[in-house]
Amino acid sequence: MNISPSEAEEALAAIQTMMQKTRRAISSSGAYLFMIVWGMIWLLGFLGSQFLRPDLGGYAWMVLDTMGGIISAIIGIRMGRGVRSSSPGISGKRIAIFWLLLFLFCIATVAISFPADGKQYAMYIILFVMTGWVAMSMLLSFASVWPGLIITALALIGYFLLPGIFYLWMAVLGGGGMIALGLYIRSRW
Amino acid sequence: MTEKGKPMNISPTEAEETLAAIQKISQKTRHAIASSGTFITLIATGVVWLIGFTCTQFLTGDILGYIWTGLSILGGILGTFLGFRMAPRVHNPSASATAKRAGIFWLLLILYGIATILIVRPTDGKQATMLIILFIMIGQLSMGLLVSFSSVWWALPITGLALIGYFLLPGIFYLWMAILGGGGMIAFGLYIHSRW
Repeated sequence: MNISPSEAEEALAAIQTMMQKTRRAISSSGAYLFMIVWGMIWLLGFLGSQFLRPDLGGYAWMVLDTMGGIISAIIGIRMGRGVRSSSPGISGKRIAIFWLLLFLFCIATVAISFPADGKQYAMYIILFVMTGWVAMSMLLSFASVWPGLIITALALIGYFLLPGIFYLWMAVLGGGGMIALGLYIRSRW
Repeated sequence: MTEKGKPMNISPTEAEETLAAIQKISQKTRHAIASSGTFITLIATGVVWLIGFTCTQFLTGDILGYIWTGLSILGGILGTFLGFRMAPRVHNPSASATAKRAGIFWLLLILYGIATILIVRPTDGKQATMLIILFIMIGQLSMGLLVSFSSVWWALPITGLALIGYFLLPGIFYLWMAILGGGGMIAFGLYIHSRW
């Protein structure tokens, strides 16, 4: 197929416009807020796991996860009010059912692999959250799959290669990375 | 009740009409599922599970690996071939994009499943099998996000049966999965095909 330089330029410009539009759609959807909230929870939670006694670290996670769930629900409800869709109820309901089921599957995995250590449990949760992230990307926008894959890769590197500082690694790179990415999407996309 | 909290009065004819409309919609949904090819996936996977798990219960050694590999490849080819044969009946402009997304998702899910198995470090075959079953069922339920949960709800009873077998009947876990998991999928697939 022969195409002229100007045709090629037009095609590239069209692709660039499309990418820009996708980015703006992600940015204006407010999805970055979830990233910032959960990035902060991971940052604090994993720092607790690294430096606090195991029982205190566990309580910290319980409190943080509960807070994260409440804040996410509030953000989700507020975002839902601003979105005009032909079937918002159906999509929202499907997403909620999916996350609930994924949570139950995560509990099943923990039960099957019992007993395990704290780092293993942390990795199960990370992997299930990231599986959910990938599934959401399939439903919403596949471009958003990349951060999930990068966080998964970082978690696996930390788990297998840096077990002594795994929690600190996850706090800084996992939690901090999510916050940074959320802020980047907010300001630049 | 109405939104103002007052009781809503409807005549017997109106109630009958509403019920008939609901019945019609659920009938249409069933027809859509039956003609979508879901039953092919169910039957193909069911046959693979039935033969594979029966062999795992009664055989030992390297041959099991070959049996599972062979069955999985055969099941995959059969499912894909029959799925393609049904494809011309489905006319949807966004079908190929959705199929591509679903394909990438399944590929990534396999990688996540492998990562989980590496972290769990299963001590026996049953533990590894349960993890694989869980990830396959997560994949099925994820497809519900794209299509509808009404076409993938069968993954839940299969998961429930697998967990019951794993925790309560470890001695006959594989046979349990062959008959109830594999057999159940085949029976349900045939039921969808013939009755819906």
